[in-house]
Amino acid sequence: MSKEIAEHIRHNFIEQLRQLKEAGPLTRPEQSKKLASTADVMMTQHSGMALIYEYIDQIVDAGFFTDTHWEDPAILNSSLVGGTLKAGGMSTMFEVISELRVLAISEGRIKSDGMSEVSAREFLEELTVTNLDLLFPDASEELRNVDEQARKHIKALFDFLQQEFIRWDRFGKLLAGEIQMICNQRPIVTDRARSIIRIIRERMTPEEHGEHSSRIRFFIDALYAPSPKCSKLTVEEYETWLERPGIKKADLKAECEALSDPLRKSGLSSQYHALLVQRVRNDPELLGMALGLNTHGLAELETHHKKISEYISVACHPDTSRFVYGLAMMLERNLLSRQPVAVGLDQLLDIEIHPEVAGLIEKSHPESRCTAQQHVFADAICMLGQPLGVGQGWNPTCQSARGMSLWSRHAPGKLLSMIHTAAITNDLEMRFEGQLLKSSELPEGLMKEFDFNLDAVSIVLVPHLDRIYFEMMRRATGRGEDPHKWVNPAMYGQWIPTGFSTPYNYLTNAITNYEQFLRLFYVTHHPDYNGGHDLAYPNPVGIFLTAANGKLLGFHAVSILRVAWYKEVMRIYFLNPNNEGRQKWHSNIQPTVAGNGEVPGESSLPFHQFASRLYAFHYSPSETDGMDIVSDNEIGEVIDIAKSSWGTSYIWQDFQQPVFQNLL
Amino acid sequence: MNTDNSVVLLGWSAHAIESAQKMDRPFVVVSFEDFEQYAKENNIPFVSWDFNQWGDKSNSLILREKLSPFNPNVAIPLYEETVEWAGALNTLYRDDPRVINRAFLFRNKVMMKRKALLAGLRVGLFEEVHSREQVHNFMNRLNEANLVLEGEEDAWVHLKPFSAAGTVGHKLLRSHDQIDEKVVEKDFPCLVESHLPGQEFSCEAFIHNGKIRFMNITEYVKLGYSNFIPAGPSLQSKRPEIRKVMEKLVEAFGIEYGVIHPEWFLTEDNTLSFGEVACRIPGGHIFELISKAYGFDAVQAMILCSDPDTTEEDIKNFFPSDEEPTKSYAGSLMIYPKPGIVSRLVIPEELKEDPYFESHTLTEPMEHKVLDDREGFGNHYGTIFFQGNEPERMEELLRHYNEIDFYQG
Repeated sequence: MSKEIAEHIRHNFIEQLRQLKEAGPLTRPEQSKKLASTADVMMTQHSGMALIYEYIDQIVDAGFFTDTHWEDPAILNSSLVGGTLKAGGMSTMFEVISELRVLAISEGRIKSDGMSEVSAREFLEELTVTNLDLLFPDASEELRNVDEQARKHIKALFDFLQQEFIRWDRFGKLLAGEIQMICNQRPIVTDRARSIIRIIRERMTPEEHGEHSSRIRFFIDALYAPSPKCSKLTVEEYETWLERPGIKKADLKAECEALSDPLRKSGLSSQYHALLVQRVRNDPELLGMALGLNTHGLAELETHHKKISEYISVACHPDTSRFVYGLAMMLERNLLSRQPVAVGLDQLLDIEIHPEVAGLIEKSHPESRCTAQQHVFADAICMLGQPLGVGQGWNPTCQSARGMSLWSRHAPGKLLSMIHTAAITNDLEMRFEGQLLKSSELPEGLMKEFDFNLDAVSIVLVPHLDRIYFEMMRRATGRGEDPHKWVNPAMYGQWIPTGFSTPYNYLTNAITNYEQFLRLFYVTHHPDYNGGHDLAYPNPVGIFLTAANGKLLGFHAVSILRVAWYKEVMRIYFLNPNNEGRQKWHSNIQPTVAGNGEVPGESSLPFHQFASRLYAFHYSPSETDGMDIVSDNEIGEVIDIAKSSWGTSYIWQDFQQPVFQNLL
Repeated sequence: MNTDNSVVLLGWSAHAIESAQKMDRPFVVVSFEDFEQYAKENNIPFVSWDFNQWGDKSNSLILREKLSPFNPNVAIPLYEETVEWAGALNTLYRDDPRVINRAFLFRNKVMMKRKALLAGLRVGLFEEVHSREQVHNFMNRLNEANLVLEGEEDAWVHLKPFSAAGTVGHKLLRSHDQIDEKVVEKDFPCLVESHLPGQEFSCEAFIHNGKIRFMNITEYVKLGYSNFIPAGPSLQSKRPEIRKVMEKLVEAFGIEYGVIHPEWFLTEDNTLSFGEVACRIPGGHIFELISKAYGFDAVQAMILCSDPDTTEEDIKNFFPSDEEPTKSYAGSLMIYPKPGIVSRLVIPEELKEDPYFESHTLTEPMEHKVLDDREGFGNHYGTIFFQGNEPERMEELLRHYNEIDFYQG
């Protein structure tokens, strides 16, 4: 796993440390930088981290932190650590070494007036708890913007802390909650939950699970022992057992009942489950049981059993195990009776994937025994079953992820046909204002380096969608208004209403007529003002994405899915394609993914909080009456929230003319 | 060692101060008022002085008075701008009026070249000019001398301020058109000279009592960007010839104490041409590299050589032999961003893992635009240091990484 540090690097590091010891206060800052520059390459691997840790007392004594923000351990703030680690460059390196110093204090290796052993331990605990996203890197917006080298440093640091410090018993509750929250969102790609579960299983003894032992046990079992039988057999042995001639139906039935329970409760499918479903695919009764189908699903299974059995025989394998959950979800959506879906899936059953596309898929599943075609088919089923489980991974391609989710819900046939075309030809075509755009003829889009932490359908489609989207944006830029006005309907489909409003002025980089904009949003989206209506179709909107401190990070694409009361609060339920719907947007703006009436995969916020982050939305121009009756208090509150967060990055202007020009 | 008298360091240099602190002799730093507070807090003997003022209320006699409590006997210039102040003080300390004149010699590139020419050193064609017209005429005369025909490329002309460090204000003019484009009124008066072909390198000589006590040759890989020390075998093989012209230079300029840092050109036919000479700490991290390559502190060497009272024995004990090969080569590459938007620092993995990579001082940039208007070489954003045993590999690395964009948009 971790290779040894090359001798010349080790030697160089020790030499730079020696020079730091000799440096006086005048040249020490420069020499500290030089030492950090040699530590850089060491910090990407465990053995290097261990070597720095071995010398940490000498590094501190030599004055590495003198005259820096890190000088006095007493004033270090664990909540700032994450931000500094993500900053990249020298900041990240100093921060990593600072953590190693705290670790050494906690172990009594370094004595510090400003920090006791106990407070050092507390510091590290707080830091781990507040930075679970760094301990188990996912694909949140903030982390995606982090420089790759810094990401490597962060990973190596937390790997090191895990080995040296983290006592899992203290984190049982936290980790159980984390897995639960991921599973609540029912993502297609469940690698992060799986890796936390795997780490707990490998690192924690049952006694260490503490009071949350039963919840943790549930998740471990869901993957590793979903039935008493499975708990005694390896996956290979289970396969042999299932294939044994003369196996009793009652035994299979017991397995189907046992395995469906954790599947439905967690959304996690085990490798055992894939084998079981493969085994019982020709028996509709057992299959329905194994998938834990509801009445809709059972009816679908009854009607299309032959087809479904064929899908399973092609795509269900321990290495595509998520297919099991995706299939169950798809059947309950009753999509197979739709001609475009049935035909689309049939076409995908037997395709020859373009070698370049196949290469990408293999890269994303390096250890898989399945073919690229099997992965594409399995994940196509998942995407149809879990439209809100689509994620963008580390890629800056929220628009593409949002698009696939929208199509899965409202145009599944179109989605399948795009998958088919792109998988075979490594190309995709769309029309924009009467002209044909061919992705193979377009330059690079937003995505520079492809992150492969994606489902296979995304891997097939995103490179093309990204280019097409970027080209549409390019063509629609320079019209004096936000190009999304034209791009969104062309990209996603004609159900997107033609009205479009934004307070962001592209020409002046200012926020103009914000109050008007808000009133228009309320009157078109808030049931109190629009005649009590919910949305007919998702609305692809743009938001100002802000970090936990409220500072502007950039623009982000989400979809408003529905608006509804929940416990006397009007909430907006939306899809955040970054697959981490809980990302904090400000100290008191924290989208939730469960507990406030969310369907799995939805995020939600109170209406006014969501409104305070909005920068663009579509609306139907015929529904704009009554702007004046929107509560002044509520509008005022939203303006205050906006101005005190992302608003500090812009100039604010008010003009008399209306912003929603489509009305004129 | 002279432990009675202070050495006066003219200019604020962190490295020089720390090197001086490590010697067993008193010193005092003379620099601008801005540094006074820091010096006080850190117990650095300090006299504040504005080097830009020279007149009734600010001259060497007054400065000598201010320094007298420190009992100094030698002043050392750390920067180009302090060279004549050092000359003036040393004239007083040594009671030798020619010392200041020599200092002026170093501060005026035309005087410098004339002196070199008189001493029989080979120099390019040069002239003092006061207008753009004169630059055109100079180029015309060069074209004539080179028998350039109508329609052929013009002879290249270098324009340099009389007194500026290294490449500051240096403009290369390749045609009459470029004279009109690049040259501005503010440049005049200045020096113009013909382009010297050949390999450019520098030489650092530590001189005491008129004799060269240690001589280093610095190989320039790319002028103003990268160099390494000591020079590789091909330049080193010319060491006897280089030593000869260096001695000629020392004699002609009447240099008795201190360090000189001339630049030379070596043509394929083995002729050495004189470029220019400075008598201060050279740029391009040369002192740092000397210290690394030879294992002695170059600033301390400069202090030692600058003091007439340093004994022969001290000198002998201090320097290693400069004739024997060093154990390894030390190189540096200064990083300048390319014009355009710069928002992040990208350091290739293979650099950090290279056995020759030693350290760097590059920091993450704030997003900003780099303009395409630097004269000379402007400010660099940091330096990468290398060390290794093979000069060929050193050169290869310095060339390779000079092509890499470390600062990207």
